[in-house]
Amino acid sequence: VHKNGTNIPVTLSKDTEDITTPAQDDDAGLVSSSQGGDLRAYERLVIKHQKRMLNTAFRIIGDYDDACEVVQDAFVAAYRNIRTFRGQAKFSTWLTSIIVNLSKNRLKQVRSRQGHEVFSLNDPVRTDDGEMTMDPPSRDLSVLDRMEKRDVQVRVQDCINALDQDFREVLVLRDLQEFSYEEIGGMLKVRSGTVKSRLFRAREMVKDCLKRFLGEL
Amino acid sequence: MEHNDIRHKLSEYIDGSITAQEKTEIEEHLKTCETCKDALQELRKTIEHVKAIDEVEPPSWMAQKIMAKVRVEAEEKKKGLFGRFFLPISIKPPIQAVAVLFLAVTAFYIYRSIQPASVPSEAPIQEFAAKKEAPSAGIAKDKMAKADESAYRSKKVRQTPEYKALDMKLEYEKPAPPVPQEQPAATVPAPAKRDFDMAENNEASREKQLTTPKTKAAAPLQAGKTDPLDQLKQRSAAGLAAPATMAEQASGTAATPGADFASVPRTEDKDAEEILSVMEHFVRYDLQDAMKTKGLQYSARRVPKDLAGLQWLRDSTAYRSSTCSRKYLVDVEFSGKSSKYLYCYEQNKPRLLTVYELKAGTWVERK
Repeated sequence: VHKNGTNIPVTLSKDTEDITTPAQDDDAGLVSSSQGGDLRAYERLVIKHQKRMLNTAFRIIGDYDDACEVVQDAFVAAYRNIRTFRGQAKFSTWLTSIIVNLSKNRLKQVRSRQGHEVFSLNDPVRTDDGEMTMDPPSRDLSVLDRMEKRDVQVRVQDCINALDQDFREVLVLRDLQEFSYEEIGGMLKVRSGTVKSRLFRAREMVKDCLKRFLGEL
Repeated sequence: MEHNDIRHKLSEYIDGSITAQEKTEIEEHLKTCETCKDALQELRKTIEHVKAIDEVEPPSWMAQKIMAKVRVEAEEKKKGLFGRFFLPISIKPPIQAVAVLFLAVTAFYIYRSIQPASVPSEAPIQEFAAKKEAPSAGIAKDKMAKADESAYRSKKVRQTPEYKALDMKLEYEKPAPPVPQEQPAATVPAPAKRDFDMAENNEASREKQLTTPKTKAAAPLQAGKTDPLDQLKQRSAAGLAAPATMAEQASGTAATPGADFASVPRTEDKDAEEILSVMEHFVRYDLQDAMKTKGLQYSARRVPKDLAGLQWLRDSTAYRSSTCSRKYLVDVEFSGKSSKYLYCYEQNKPRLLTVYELKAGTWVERK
């Protein structure tokens, strides 16, 4: 986190907690133990939330390895600042807000890196037989009879990736992670009206994108 | 609500985050508007597609890696500010080595930057100090003069012999160096440095001292109302016989700078005692009262066996006729006139043999 110059969203956590209505947090006990320095308690929180956090990061960033790094950094940052977490929001909400922030920063870095690179490994390679595009095996599925479904999923991911950052994170947080408008507004520091309009536009754009790829929905 | 408003509300309608009134309005509109009905359908299918995306699994090592990083973080947290002063042993020695090296190099450069500035200034300061200390009196001052003297020896600083007026406080003059014998133009003011204090305290060093054939004590008289005898007594009490320098007037020339001081041998105790005795005798019995005033300068010394600078004495009847082996000469300067009192030291007391006066460039016995 430090080496990437990322700000740890300590203040953001406060906003998140303010906006979120006090909820029953299953993690309250583990969080309390972690605040007291119990590393085993924190490990249980990591194991419990790592998948959801990875998926959030992965859908926002679009790159699995980058998402893995972001998740690691986010859990370390969360531990560093766990004493500032006062339990007014769910731990998972607070953690997600950190993920979203670090993912944003990661995307900025990736973009500036790509801007400086002469070529990318994903670029088509010219051979004697013509152009050859890299086709890495998908991590999601390996079963042949689900080829068609996988194809749709790849298209959906492509359409999500095609969205601007602001629209993408709202869509991921709402439709994939099913946070409420208020929670999303707290994480992104925007009003829920803005969340609603962004979500509407994001869904419309994905709909149009999918219609282009798949014909009928 | 208009058609467009309802189109924009469809997203919220699906999420159920609208008021009951809005919900009724939208549902009423959907019954009549096919476009909105289709749009709602497509929107629902889109959301379904998005939600249908399979979740990715985290790598098996992820939790372990996270916890490894968290443990490092926890250790640093535990150490806190205090712990940061105590670096791990793997880092500390190299840092210490670099620090020591840095200090050494810095010290070396500071030393080098200071060195050239101090070296040239050393010699002048010492010389100046020696000159300043020379006309001081008293035991303590005399000790300092000794130190200066050794500095003079090593530095081979020449000193011009000259008359010195006796200050109200007792004055001490540096011994004047002798001039080689065969120099007819310049006669030798033989120095006599008498240091009782040192002689008593440092027998070993005294043994090394050579007996000088020419001893001389000077007591230049200043302050008209001061009794020269009192001054002499004071001087004696201080354990000091001032070795004054006095220009020889035999050839009628001014005194010349003496030879290197380092070559001047030290006087014996006996000589010094006798010189003091001679001077006391001179002041008490032979010095005219009219001369006991400001402007009188006198000094005593032993007549060297080789008569260095005093060759004219050989022709003197008084000198030749005396069989006395210990002869002393008191050089006197008073109102531009020079005279010399020749004494013989016998049976522990001085006896005046004769008085010489300078007339037409030659020394003649006073009748």
